Amino acid sequence: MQPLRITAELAEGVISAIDKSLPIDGPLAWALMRQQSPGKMYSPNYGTGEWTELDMSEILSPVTVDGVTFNACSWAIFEPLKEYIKYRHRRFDTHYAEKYGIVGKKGRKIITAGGTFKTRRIPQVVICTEKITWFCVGDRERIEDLLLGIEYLGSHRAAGFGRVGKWLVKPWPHDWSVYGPDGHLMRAIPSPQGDRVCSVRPPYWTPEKHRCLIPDLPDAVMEDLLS
Amino acid sequence: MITAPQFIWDALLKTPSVTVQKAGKPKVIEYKCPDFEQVPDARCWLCGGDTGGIGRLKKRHITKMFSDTEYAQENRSESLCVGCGGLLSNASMRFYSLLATEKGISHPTRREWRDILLVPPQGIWAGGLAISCQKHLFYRMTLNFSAVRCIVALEDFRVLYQPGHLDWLLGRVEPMLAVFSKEEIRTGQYRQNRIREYGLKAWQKAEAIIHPLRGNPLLDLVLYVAVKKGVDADATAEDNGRTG
Repeated sequence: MQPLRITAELAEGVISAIDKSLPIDGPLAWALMRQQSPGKMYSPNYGTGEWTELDMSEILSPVTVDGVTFNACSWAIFEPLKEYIKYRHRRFDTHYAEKYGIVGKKGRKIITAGGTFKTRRIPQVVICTEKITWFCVGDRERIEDLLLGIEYLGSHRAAGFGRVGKWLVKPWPHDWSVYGPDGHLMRAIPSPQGDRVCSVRPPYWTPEKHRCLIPDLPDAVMEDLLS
Repeated sequence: MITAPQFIWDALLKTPSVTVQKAGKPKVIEYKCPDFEQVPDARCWLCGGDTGGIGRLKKRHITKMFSDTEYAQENRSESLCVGCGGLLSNASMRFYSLLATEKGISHPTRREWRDILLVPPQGIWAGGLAISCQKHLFYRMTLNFSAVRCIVALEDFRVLYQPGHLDWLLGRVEPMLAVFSKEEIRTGQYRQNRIREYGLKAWQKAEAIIHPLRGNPLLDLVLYVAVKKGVDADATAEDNGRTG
């Protein structure tokens, strides 16, 4: 285990993300899950069981704060050059449904005027940036191996957002995984005085959330970290 | 950990009767507490919070016509917690913007939102600003524990803002409303005669601030609460007579 700096150079320079936290242990957990038990990845019983029992202690150093254990890795550090809203249009594919007998001759009826299959115009936040940087403490070889399987970051990856052109992992003289230069917070840490409720370990979409202190890096520090 | 819907429901129970201004007249909304029942799941399907074994069955509220299934936090559950079940039972909740604090809930007008966002309530609070006044906001809302960096739900978006920064932006945008419409500022498609009227240099200076924000939900929030000097924000045509 050693302090590392991970950099993702985006191929198209655009990423879709609901918030800007984008912790690197999320994609690493996904890649690890895919390596260890790919059959379970798309199980409908997600959220419990296999995912929450995922052991990442040999890849990223575990840190315990306020009784909660998480991985020693920072939130994403990047300079958003532009941020805008793009609308995604979702429509039930009638042709596909008829082809595979989901609707039509067999007499099944799918409601498209409302509910899950309703035609929708979904807004998504798109961020333009050249590269994204993280700091962590972990096993360099294992991390590099897992990063090979991560080609996209953020959400709406199937639409082409967040494609990674190049991964760079290099040793770093300082452990800036939780606290950065001058003691600035680099990631959310559980605290009774926290100002937001969020997840601290993958999978981040589970309902298991904690009240956390949130990093707020000054622009000058951000520039130093990216240089 | 308490979730936003559960916090809002606790606040609603403190103030089940809320007065709103509709078309200039006060209207009292009485929220009702439905009958809760034993539920089989420990987690709520919608907010993912603990049910404690009591709530409402999912099938009572989440029909095939429910479109916001992507907000569900616990897909395997067939139960709703007391908060989600209670709030879904009160359909009129979705017609108004919503502010929940430790003291209760209220449905602020746009002008009131301006003051609330600039000086957020002390303690825990959650805010949702309705634009269409057709969607439930409570499961889109986030709990705020501080008044320094806050998140409010602006229809479908969660907007992170700092009150000081918002105040600074309002100071740049509100003078422009004397000449330009909100739609012009939002889209960047200004009428040339209005640019001349406002002054080219002053417009260029303001546009240098607004242009990088265009498309960002923060600008939508600024324009939502911005007030044209000398005009009541709730009486403008853009409000369409709604309090949200």
